[in-house]
Amino acid sequence: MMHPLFTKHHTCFILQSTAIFTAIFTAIFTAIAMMTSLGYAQDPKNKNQPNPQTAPNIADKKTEDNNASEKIPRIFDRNSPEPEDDNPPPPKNAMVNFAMDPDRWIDVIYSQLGGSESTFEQFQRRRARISLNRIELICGLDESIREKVQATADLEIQRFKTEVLTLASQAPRNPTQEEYQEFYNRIHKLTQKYQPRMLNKTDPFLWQKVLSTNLSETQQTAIKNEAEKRTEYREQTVRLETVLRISRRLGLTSKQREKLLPYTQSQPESWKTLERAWQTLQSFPDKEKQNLFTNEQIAELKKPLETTDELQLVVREFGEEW
Amino acid sequence: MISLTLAMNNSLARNLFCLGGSLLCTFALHNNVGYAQVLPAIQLRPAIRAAVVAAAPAPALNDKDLAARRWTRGLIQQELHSVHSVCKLNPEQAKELVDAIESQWKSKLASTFRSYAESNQRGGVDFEFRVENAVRAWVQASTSLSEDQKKAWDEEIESRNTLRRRVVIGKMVADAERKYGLSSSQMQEAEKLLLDRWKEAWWVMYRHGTTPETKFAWISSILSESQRTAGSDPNALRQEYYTSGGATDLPSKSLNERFEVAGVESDQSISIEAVTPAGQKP
Repeated sequence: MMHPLFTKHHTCFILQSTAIFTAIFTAIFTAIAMMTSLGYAQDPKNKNQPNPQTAPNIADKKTEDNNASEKIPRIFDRNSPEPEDDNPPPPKNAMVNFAMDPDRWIDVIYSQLGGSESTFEQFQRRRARISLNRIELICGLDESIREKVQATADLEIQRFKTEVLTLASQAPRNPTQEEYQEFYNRIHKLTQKYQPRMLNKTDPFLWQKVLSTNLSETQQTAIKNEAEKRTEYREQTVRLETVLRISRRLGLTSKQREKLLPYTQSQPESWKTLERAWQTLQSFPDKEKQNLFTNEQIAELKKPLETTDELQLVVREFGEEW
Repeated sequence: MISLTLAMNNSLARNLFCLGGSLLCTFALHNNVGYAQVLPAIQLRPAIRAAVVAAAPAPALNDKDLAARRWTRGLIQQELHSVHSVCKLNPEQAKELVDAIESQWKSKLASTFRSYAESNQRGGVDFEFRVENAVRAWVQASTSLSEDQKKAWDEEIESRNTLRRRVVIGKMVADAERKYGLSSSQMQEAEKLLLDRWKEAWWVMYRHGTTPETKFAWISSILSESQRTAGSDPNALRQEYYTSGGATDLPSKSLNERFEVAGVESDQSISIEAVTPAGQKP
C-alpha cells in the first residue's frame, strides 16, 4: 500500500533524481578513467616515463618550460643563476692571485727540505754525523778527518743557504703563471740534491767526496764490504717476505719452504715481489715442481694470482752507500 | 551508460569497469598488469609448499662478503692439505676433520667475513691468522687424531711463526739501520734484542701494511756513544706509499665445492648452500 501523500508524481521525481545522480557519477568516473589512461595521474615512480601516446606533447611542454626558466628567473627565486663552467683557461701572462716576496719564496724552498731553515740545517748535520759514526765503527776514523768532514758539511750547508737567499731575491714578486712555473722548476733543481739518492742523479755531497779522498784503501774496502752485508740483510728480508707470501698462497709446509729457499738465493731478482716469484715458479720445469710441491699445489700454481682493489703498502728503499 | 561505455576505446572501458568494480582490479590495470595476474594464488599442497620453502635461495651477499668467504675457504682447504702432509691422516681421521670443518666453518669464521665486509678500504682483516687459529682448534678438538699428530701440527705452526717473526723483525732492523746508522754486526744484535721483545701486535701491524717502529730505547744498549748522541736520521731514505690494488696472496675456493683432504670429501648430508651475489636474481 502506498502512503496517501506519496503520489505517482513523487515516484517519477525519485526516478528522475536517481537517473540524474547516476549520470553525474558516470560522468565523474569517465573523467577519472580518461585522465588515468592519458597519463595525467601517473605513478610518482614513473613520472619521468610519460605515456608514449602523449609523450611528444609533454616533452615539448617541458622543454619550453626549461628554456623559459633558464631565460627568465622566477620572481620568488632570489638566487642568481650559477655561472656556466665554460671559462677559458687563464692566459700564460696572467698574474697569479698572490704576491710573492723573498721570504715567501724561502718558505717554499725549505718546505721541501724538512719544513724550515733550522730543521734543514739540523737534518743535514745529523746525516753527516751518522755516516761518520758508522764508519768509525767499521774501520775507525781519525778525529782530524772527522772534524774536516764535519766542517765541510757545515760549509756546504752555509753555501746552500746563501744559494737559497740569492734565488729568493731574484724571484718575481708578482709572477705570471708561466713565471711562477719556471721559477718553481729552478727551486726543484736547487733542492734536488737533498732528496733521497735514488731520486736524484746529481753528484754526491762535497763532504762525501772529502771523506773518500781522506780514507785509505783498506778503509774503503772495509766500508764497501760492510755496505754489501747490510744490503744483503735487507734483500734477504725481502726474499723471505716473498717466500712467506708464496707459502700463504700455496700452503707450503716448513720442509717445502726450506727446499725453496736456495732457489731464492740463486735468483734474487726473481724473488723481490710476489708477482715475479709466482711467474718464476710457474716457469719451473715439471720435474722441479714435483720435487718441491704436492699435486694440489702444482694445480694451484697454474692459476693466476687473484687481484684486489684494496690499498697496498709499497715501500721504496733508497739505501745508503756510507 | 552502456552506449557510452561501448563508444569508448577498449582501455577506457576496462578502466570504467574497474573503477565501478574493485579497487584491486583498478590497481592492476593502472600498472598495465593483465587480468591473469590478479587471479587468486593457487593453494599448494603441504608437501610441495615444504619443498618450495626448502629450495628458497640463500641471502644475497655483497662482493666483499663473497670474496671473504672464498678466501677463507681457500685458506682452510690449504690448511687441510698441509695437515695431511704433516700429520699423514688416515681416511677415518680425514673424514672426521673435513666433516667438522664443513659444518662449522661458517659459524666459526662469521666474524671474519663481517669484519671484512664492513671494513674500510684499507681492509685490515688478517684472514690467515684467523683461519690458522680455527684449524688449529679443529685439529686439537679432533678425537681421532693422536697426540703426536697434534703436536706435529703445533710445531708446523710454530715454524710459520718463526718465519713471520724473522720477516717483521728484519724489516724493523732494516729501518733502524737507516735511522741510526747501524753496522752489519749491530744489525744482528738488534735482531736478537727485538726478538726478545717480540709482540704479536707487530705481526698484526705488518699484515695491515705498517712496519712497526723500532724505538731508540730498545736498541740504545748496542749503540756507540757517538751514535747515542747523534739521534736518528729523519730522512731515513725510505718512502712508503699506498697503491690502489694489486695481487693478493690469498688462495680462493668456490663456495660450491666441498672441502676435501686425503681424497676424502665432506659428507653429502652437510649442505653447502649456494650463495647469490647481491644484485642478481637467484
